[in-house]
Amino acid sequence: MSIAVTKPTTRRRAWVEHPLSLPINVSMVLWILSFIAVSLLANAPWAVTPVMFVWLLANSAAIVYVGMHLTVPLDAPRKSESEVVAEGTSLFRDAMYRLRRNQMATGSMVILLLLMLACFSQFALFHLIPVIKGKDRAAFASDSFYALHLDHTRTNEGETYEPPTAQHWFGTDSLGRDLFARTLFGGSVSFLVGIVGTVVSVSVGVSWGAVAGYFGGRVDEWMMRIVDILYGLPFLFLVILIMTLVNGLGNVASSTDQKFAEAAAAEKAGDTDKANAILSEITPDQRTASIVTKFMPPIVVVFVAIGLVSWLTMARITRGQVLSLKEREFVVAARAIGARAPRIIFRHIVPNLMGPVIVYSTLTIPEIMLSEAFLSFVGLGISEPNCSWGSLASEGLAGVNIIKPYWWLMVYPAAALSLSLFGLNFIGDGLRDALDPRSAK
Amino acid sequence: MSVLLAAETSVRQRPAKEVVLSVRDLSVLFPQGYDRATGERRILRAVDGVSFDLHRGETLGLVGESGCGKSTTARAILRLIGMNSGSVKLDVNDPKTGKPVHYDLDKLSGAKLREARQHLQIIFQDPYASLNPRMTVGDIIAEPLVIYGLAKWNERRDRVQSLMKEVGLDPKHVLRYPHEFSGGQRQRIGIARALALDPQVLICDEPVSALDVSVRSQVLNLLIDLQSRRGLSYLFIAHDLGVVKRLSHRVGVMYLGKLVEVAPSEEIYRTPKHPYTQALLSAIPIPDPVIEKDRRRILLKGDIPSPLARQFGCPFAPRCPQAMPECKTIVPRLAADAPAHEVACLLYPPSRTAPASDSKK
Amino acid sequence: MIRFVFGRLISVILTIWFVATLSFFLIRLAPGNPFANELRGATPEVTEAKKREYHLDLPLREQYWIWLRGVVTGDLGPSMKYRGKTVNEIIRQTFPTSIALGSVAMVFAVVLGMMTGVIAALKKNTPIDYGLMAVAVFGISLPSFILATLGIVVLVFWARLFPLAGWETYSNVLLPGLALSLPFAAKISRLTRVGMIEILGEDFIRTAHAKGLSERQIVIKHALRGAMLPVVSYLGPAFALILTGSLVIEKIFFIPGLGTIFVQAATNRDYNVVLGTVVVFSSLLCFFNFVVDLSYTFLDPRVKPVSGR
Repeated sequence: MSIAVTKPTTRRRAWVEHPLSLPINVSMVLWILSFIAVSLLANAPWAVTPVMFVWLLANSAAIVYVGMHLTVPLDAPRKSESEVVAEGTSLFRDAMYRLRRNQMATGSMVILLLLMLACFSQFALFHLIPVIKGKDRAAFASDSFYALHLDHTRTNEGETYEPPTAQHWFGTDSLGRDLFARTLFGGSVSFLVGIVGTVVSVSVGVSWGAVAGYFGGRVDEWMMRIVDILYGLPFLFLVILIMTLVNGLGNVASSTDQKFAEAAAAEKAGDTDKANAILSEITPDQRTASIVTKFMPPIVVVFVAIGLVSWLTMARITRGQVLSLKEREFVVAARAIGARAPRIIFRHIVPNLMGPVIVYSTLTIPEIMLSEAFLSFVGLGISEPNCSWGSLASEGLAGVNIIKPYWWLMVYPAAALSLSLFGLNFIGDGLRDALDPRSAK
Repeated sequence: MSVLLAAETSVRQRPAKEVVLSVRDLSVLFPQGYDRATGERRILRAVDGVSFDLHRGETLGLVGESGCGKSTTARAILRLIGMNSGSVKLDVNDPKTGKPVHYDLDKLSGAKLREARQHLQIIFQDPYASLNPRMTVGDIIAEPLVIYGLAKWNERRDRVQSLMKEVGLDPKHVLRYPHEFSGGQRQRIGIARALALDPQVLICDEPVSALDVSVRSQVLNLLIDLQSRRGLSYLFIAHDLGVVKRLSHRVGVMYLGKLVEVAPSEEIYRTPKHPYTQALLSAIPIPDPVIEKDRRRILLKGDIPSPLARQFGCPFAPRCPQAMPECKTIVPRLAADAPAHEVACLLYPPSRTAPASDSKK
Repeated sequence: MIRFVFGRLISVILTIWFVATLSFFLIRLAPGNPFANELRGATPEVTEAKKREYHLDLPLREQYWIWLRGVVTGDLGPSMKYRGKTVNEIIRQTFPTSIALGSVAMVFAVVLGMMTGVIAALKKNTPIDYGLMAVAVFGISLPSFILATLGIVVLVFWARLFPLAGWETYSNVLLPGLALSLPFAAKISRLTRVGMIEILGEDFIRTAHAKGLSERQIVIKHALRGAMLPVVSYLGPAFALILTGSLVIEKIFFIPGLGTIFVQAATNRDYNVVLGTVVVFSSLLCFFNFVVDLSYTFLDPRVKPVSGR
């Protein structure tokens, strides 16, 4: 059988024509900034829906775009490895080719993308539909699709602990909330924590390791000693402390907000004295708490805190890579043409260590999702009525008993969480094998 | 390669006697930990008191076996690695004003050093390793322009394309990555990058040794072209005397971190003085079976002594076919035996005098 | 060697001090005080008296010094929630439980992991290898609370092999210990396998074969020692993770351990108990890492016990 070997169309980064073509580190920073901006805006009721929607749309577009670049059409003729090498494709494309032949990894990728799509669309539709219909969330009829399958906050006293039915696909919880909607919502929270936490940890870890490795000597010794010391810390304990701090702040802030609302109501009613009296009761501390939580909602703290404690391995990996990369001649060449350290590190060294970084970050995502699940399970992660897979599983555990097991409360979130963690681990392993074929067997 | 070039006698026009790069007593030492037996600090003398001048428009060839410190000399001059002693002076004309500028490269750092490097560029040996595999050719060539802010982004493209044309690359390939080029083409990219800053001195660190024999000639021709067009001065490093002969006006021979002989090109090939140079030259095959058959080769015995070992006397003494007893005790000095022909060997009386400070001229 | 040990000890002490100080200021940063709920509606005098009892009326710096002095002398102060109990008493009661759980998990993880790893390496690229490694991926990806719940449902509810929960008999420790250890067993198994395969491909193993050593002798005498190295260096982080993992496992199995106390105290803001547990946990961890470091230098002759290069 003879198959015409078509050379894959190579996409190239447009040079000069597209001034917006950004190196990966810049786009990472921009993404974090956009995320912070979105989470700040999300606190203002007027902005929730459109901003979230645009942001999610942009992200989906990015995912699709990246996916298009990573995957070669499946009907493309299969080539032997030697043919691929002979074509002189870049190492990266070569690795992607090997990855696509790894069926576990490809399968995981498809399942994960579907899961993420489902979760994020619940997230978007939940916010979006009320705006489009011009109705309040509570005003939807109780048998509408929105109320049944999309609203994860809607409680129903008549329908507590319902097992899975045609109406409630995944059953309902102790407050009669639909578990299907809650599982999807929990998924978007878990994925977001995983992705944002990984981005934070990769940014910090890569920068730290690159600087230590590049400068070497005393700098390296001290920076790596710090990493060694931090390695020995019981980090989740610190995260738990941070979370209690944040939760404490949150409680103070919500009661303060309530007082502000009362004062505003009194003012509206014409009772200025009462309004002033209420306002004068608010202490400066309470005011600060209220403002701080506006800018740092607890969920963002979860993202950042977990990301900030999981960059250590990344830093070590990066340092090792940099130590060998900085002896390479193109780095010497860059110094010869007058490049300064930041440019050498971020333009010459960092792009060349993306292979191991990509592998390790795909393995970091499940780790961070696990940490978040763990925190929520202990009761210190996300707070009600929001949820994540970890907090749902924690609720589900309460339903596990001999007499009347509410199994669905545990099974669905746990299955979703396990499935995505498997998938991510398989993809990570597949990527590692693809990028470093020697490690495979 | 050598076969092809040895036959060509290259007598190139001697350029004006205006010094652009002056190196004095350059030494680079690498500490190598401690000796287990004696506990003494072991030091590798990679470059040991090298002095030479490079004139405007001239090519100074630097030859020697691998490991003799040629590349280290090049990198130390550019301050890419630290030097332990010595001075490097650069006298160039400011490209904007045309006025002469003087740089003491050994004393500069930071912004001033970067400014000086604009006039002094390097081409690397391995065109596979010296180009960042993640950058397009356009980005690579444009990078010096970006760093020095020499061109606005809309002019950059034209500059890059004209540079690519100048070194014989197709400007259409501006968006390609290095791995899509052949070795010779990559070396041209490296040359274009070095030329982007419009330097006046170019250090060529074995620019053709990693290339296929078939493309060496093309790259060498390009370098000769560029020199005559731009009036560049080359410090041309190679371990292949044939390649050096083709390009150089003067040739310096290095052995174990020391310059042992410096002479005009035609002279060093006609009347080599140092026994090491003689041995090197006798190793070049001559593409004439009649001559080659009867020719006597000087075969060197033994290996290069470790540069870690403590040296007494002439470094070449252990392998020298003409070694004398005093060679083991007296260090020969690089001194002029004939006009413009310097040699460091006790066979020649000027080398026996005690080294004065600033031995040259 | 002595200098190495001494230097490491100093860094251990510094680390513990750093963690303790960080936690102290983190927890004092939180608004409100531990008695906010308890003394709701109480007169200001009562609140003040209560605060004075725990030195909370002093400036932060002095509170810190009092507390630090206590830590150095081994007195972690009184609990702010459990009336009349000191932190030392609470820790003394719960610490053995946690240690038992942790060490059972650690032993399980090492034994199970090394065994399966060696088997997988020896049966490289056979169904046994693939099967074991597939299980290992499951072990790494599954959160321990899901594993634990699965374990409860299968082994306790259906098979009725184990008592439900609590902390009375020895068999109580087995199921939680197993659930806690599985992720680490999986990781250790993978590390052992990779290390073993690498070592088995080395020349000196071929020499050993050539001089007629049996497979068993080769594995035990030569290969295992080399394969131990990555495992030993993983033990430090594994120990930290087992400590934190025990928080969840203790919650699921209703085990009255230090982890449960810590989480409760953190939510109630029982300052002294939180800080006390953090100090105990981090000392334990640092000490363990210290031991691992030492054993590493013994296992690998290439690691010279001289810091610096």
